[in-house]
Amino acid sequence: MKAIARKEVSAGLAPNLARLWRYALVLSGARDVADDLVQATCVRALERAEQFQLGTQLDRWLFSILRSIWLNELRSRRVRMGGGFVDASEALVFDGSHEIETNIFAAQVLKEVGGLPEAQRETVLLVYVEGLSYREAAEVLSAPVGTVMSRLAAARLTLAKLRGTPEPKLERRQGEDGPKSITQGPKDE
Amino acid sequence: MSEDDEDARLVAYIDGELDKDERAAVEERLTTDADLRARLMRLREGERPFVAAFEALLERAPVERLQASLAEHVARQERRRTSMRDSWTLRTGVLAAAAAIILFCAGIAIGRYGPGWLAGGPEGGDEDWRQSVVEYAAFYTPETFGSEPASKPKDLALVGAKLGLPLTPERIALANLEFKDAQILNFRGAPLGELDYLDPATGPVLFCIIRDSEPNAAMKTETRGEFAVASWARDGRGYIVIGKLPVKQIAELANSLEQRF
Repeated sequence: MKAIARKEVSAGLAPNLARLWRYALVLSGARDVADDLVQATCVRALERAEQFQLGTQLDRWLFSILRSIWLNELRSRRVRMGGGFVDASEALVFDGSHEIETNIFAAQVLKEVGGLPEAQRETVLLVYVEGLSYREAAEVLSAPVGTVMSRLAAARLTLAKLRGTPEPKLERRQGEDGPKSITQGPKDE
Repeated sequence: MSEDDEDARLVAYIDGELDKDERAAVEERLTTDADLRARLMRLREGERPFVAAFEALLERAPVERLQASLAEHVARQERRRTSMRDSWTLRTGVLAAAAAIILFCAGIAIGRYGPGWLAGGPEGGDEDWRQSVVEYAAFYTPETFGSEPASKPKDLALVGAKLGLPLTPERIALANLEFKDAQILNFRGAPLGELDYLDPATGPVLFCIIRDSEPNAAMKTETRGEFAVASWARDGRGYIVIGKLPVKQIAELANSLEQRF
């Protein structure tokens, strides 16, 4: 059984690299850290391959490992080394106007999600992008299902606000100044 | 139910995560509760084409590079295993005997110098990992690393990341020794970094670092079996340098490393 688990893990790493990297980027907000995080995850997964439970989904297991390395090792190192946290909203949008022009909607969504707090970002990724059920996400996050729900609610409310949807309890007031534009105004050179 | 709980329940409703009864209850309230409808609307405004947007990140993942480094890691482990296995096959009986002798010698060393060694850790646990390194080192021969290319700075950095120490080729370089490999092991849940060097005259020299929050301890040197050993602890990490060199030489190497760690 152990040998089968080892085989399954080593065969299953390569097909999951891109998704692991995406999760790592969403967590760390920095591409070089994401690279390191994925590599460390692979090494750890191979070391612990015998602990992988056959019949369960490998990607979930790998997500958990990646997350625990991020929380226990890399994140604290970044803080200790004075790196602090990068604004993930910047890291998730790629440089090069090419991508942004051709895929302006994707860039906008990535920027908005990148602006959410880390816990909400990763929950959005796991549930809405990776398609995990609340229960599965809760397992990866080592958190109760209620936490998954409240993080998703908080994330949705923030994103709704970015669309300018008013608080439902406030009366919609007509005739006031529109929202101030932060992108159209003259730039200070 | 608080507003937050209500929002959480509505999100679960939107995401199809409620069971049949809960769903029916929410729907019934929605028919009569305008405020709830407004909240639902607002939560729906938070929807985005998440899947499509995040596809872009998959395309940007450096898959080839990650794959290459994964393959390299697997190959290195394989070489290491083969080389270990070869030395086992070549020296089967001898090796078992050697291990017993080393354990025996270590036992004598501990018995004789016990207070000096054990004083390093009030919990007495520090001794274990050092002993394990000594036993592990006994299986290494120059051939263990013979055909392998030296580890890259990236491997070093990864090992460093697990130990919470920035490791660079400059920081770990030792005069007259060739740096061969860096790997991370696990000792009872604590990350144990092992840096391997080759001394042309006497064979493998190991520099190991464990992150196990042991108390600070000054440099000590020691012989264990055929090994000379130097160790110290600082800032929650234990360090050991071990090789089949004269004690004086191991002490010099360890002193040079201690200045950097």
